[in-house]
Amino acid sequence: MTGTRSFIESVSGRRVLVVAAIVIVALLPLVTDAYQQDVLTQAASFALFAVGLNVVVGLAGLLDLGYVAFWAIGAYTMAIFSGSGPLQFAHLNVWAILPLGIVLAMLTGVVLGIPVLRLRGDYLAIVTLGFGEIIRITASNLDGITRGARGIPSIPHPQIAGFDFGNSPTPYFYLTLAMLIIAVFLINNLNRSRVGRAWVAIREDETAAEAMGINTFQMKLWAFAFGASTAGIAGVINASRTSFVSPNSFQIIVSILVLCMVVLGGMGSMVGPIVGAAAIVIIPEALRDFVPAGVRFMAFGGILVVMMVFRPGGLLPSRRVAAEQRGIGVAGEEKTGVEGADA
Amino acid sequence: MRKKRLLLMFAALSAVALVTGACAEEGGGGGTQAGECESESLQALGATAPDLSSKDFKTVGFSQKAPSVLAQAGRTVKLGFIGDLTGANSNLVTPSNEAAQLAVKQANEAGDLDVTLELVSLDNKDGGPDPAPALAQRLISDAAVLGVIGPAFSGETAVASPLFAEAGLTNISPSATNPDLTTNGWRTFFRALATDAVQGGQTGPLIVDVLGCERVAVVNDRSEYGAGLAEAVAASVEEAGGEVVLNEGVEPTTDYTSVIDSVLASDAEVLYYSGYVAQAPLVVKQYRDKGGEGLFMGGDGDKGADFIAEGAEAAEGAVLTCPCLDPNASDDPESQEFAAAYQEEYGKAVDIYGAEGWDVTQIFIAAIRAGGANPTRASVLEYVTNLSDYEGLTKTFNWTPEHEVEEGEITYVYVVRDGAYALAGRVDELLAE
Amino acid sequence: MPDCLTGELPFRLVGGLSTGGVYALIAIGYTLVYGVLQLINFAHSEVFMSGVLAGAVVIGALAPDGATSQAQGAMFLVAALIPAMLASGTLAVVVERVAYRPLRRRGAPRLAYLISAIGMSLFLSYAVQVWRGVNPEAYPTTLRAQAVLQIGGVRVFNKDLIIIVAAIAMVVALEAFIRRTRTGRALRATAQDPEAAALMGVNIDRIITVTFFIGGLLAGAAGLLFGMAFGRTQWNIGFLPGIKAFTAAVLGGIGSIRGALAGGLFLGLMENVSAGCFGTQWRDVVAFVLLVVVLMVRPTGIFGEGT
Repeated sequence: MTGTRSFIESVSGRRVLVVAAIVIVALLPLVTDAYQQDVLTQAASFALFAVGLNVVVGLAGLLDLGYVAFWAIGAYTMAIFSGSGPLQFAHLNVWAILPLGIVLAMLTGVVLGIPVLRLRGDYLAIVTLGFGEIIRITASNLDGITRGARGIPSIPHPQIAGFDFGNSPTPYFYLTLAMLIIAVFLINNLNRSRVGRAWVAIREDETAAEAMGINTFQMKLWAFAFGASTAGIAGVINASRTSFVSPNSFQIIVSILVLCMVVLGGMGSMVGPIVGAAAIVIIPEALRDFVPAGVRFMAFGGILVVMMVFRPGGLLPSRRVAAEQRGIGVAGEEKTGVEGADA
Repeated sequence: MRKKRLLLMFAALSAVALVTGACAEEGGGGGTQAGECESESLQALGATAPDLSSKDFKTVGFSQKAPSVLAQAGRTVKLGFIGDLTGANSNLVTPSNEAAQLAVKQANEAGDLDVTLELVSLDNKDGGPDPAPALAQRLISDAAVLGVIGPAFSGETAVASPLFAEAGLTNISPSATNPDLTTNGWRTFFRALATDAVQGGQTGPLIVDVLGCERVAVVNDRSEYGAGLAEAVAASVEEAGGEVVLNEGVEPTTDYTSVIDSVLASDAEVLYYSGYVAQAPLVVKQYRDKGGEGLFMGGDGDKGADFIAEGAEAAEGAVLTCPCLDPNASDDPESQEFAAAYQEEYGKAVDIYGAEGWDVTQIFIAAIRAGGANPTRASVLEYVTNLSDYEGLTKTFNWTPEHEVEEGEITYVYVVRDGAYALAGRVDELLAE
Repeated sequence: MPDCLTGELPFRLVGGLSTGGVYALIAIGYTLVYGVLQLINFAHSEVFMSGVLAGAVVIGALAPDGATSQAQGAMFLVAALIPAMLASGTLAVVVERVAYRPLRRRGAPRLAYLISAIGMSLFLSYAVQVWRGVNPEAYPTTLRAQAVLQIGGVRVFNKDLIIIVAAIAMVVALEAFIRRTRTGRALRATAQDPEAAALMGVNIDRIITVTFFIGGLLAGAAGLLFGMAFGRTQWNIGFLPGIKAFTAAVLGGIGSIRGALAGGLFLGLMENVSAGCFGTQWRDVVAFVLLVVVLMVRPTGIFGEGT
């Protein structure tokens, strides 16, 4: 099997695999019906989320439980700037709003990150959860801007050269797929650069990283910002696809679900979160007639626990993370409760 | 020694708490003392509960035609239904759904349709707008669906109707009452009952003139329906000369302590909860638990069976309004026929919006019948749009240019008495007295 | 001074303290576990939920139509208390065995504990949804509302008083337990320095089990009181009180039992008062804002860390 393995691990081999995968996925709409394409589009959307959260959790090692807030930013940007809500100051189209959504999401990531990133692991998680809820409830209360809990309907679909995306999922699938590919490409490059190496250092031993001169705070902020950006993209596209935005879509369970995707698929790797997203969106839909919704979520919870106990790196962890999990060469920073007052 | 003292303290404290909590006097607890406003109002309404158990229903020649062979031939045509069928507010929706099922069944058995009719019911457990677009899409994608009954609630109607309008699929709601729904120019959306502008608009005179109360606290659940109704109620109370001492919104939750404290602090005589039946019993129970003695009022969203079932004693004496007719209390022979048929089919009395659901389904059935062997969405839309003087159970249907019912300024008043809803009358009639 | 702080305060005092009492009892579970394991037990909100549910099941079995007298109502409550506490206590222990002990054995990083906790919370809440359904279930009526005290113009009602007294009483009892018994001392020792405690012969595993059990007991009591006060149980009813209780624990100083009590009462009061000032729709935000602010500005809380 070494032949196959070395092919997979070689640079050109991987490139071939990636291109092949993209081609196959891009051809899927030809052999699937509207409902299945809808599921695929949702999977692609969640893959965007997962890839972004992976930057925060898998690459930089920060547990963000309020990740859904960035999705909300993207979605409400689409709703408000297209003039669908109570504020009628702008009537931009999707293409103008996409970059705006990205920027606003990144900005939110930075703004949330600055006060929060100095905190220790568990506290960071809870604070981000708190922020996520604050944003959701605020969106639910600002009737003049977001129409409150009633939501904003009739958001326009994207149009390109006279062609209206309409209600069919196919064009959205391609759009989301394109965004996903671009995002993965950019993040992969980032991960291989100085920034990515800094993230590894922070994840493995923050104190040592600081001692080596890495500006850990800034690096963590970058992680937050980039992680937020993909959620912003997906938020804009989703809002335009469903034509409707409401605060109820941005509950904590979504953040947890995306976390589940990253954990299951494999933290730190590029492919892992995508596989995780696809698995968690597609498999329950396929089993929908046999497995009720509640059992589905029970399974997700169970997966999280089981994964942590038996395979914390996920199904397809990056080689580095897998090594960490096996304890090769690097000691994990924080272990069990047997610890001094390390803040 | 200290341990013993501590334990003794603990025991003493808990004993005190338990004893004071379980004081020997029962029944004299707060909550059953009616404020002055309330006792007046109950007298004014003079409500008596209809005796459903012994009512002699006359079954007047209901469709007993032999099922035609032809009824099974022809293509299948579907009617869609969207609403909360199994969720926390389902007792507001299942009656209209069951009425629709009954109507479809009878239409198929009658044999005078050139097609076979089928009802596709989609469950929006949430009752809210979020799942609605996807449900609407499912109906739109099914080419056999020629009309949609519903959606049931205002929030879901607001997001589903634009999609139906785009697809040319007619939807008539038997229960969505938010007034703004018809201001969007959706050519395919029609509403079969009076709006909250009417219900809310008549509540002010009801409270001030009929019931003689002045200080009203309005609490809504921040939903499309709840917020809209509360707005109308607050405005009409002020206009009628009353005072809105509190106007707040609380999203559905379990702990209403804060808002109830606000209501108590405002010294209101009436607590009007504009929301759904899943929450209303909580609000009224917690209100009474904290010593709230004012009159509890609400709109049609509160008027479900669960309000009485869960609200128990706290719900007694509550006054709820509804644009909906209660066919069990009606003298009209056709309504009684319908009530009897429903009772026979489902083993229970028809509840809120059952009659409206029936009317809407019958309108669709007439539209489909008019299309002969090949009704289409367009033919159904045309028929419904041009509907003129259609005699339904609840009213005669004529549409305004905005697709509201013309003869629609009706609000019924119900009082909870002895664990059941009693019809007190129509607001306009009560005002005239 | 705005009216929401002066005029309304008397009305809001009792309600705030009563809700706060429930938060306090739940908060103790968080604070105990954190004191010993430095772990946020995310699944504790579901332990609380199981107490609410257990109470509903027991009272529902005893009297589906509710109590017919105050005395009977009180009896039902007392009868349901032990089962509710035991159910929650047991569940807490099970959670520890399944979700955390295996990680301890493997020396897993902190992140893994948190993710496992989240997974457990998810699993338990949806398991209850599958079992009991999506819709809420009503608590049968036990006590009728009855004013028991009159302080100035404000009436204090029986249910509120019961909750406040129960919360204080349980905290007092717990403190007595911690200070007086051997197990309590072992608990304190483990919280201070697990290695030294182990060297002194303390069975760390057993102490951890006891910690979770106690936290669960109190959460179960909180669950019953919650059901009595608000009248309902549902599969997802644990989430919001759980988060708020955690806020309370942090407010009062995570690791401190008295801090949990103080934090809980304070939070309940704050919530209620700010609802009056800013409008009820902002009430839940207050808890989250407090959480964020305290964690960022003074993570050690009012009483500081320590048992």
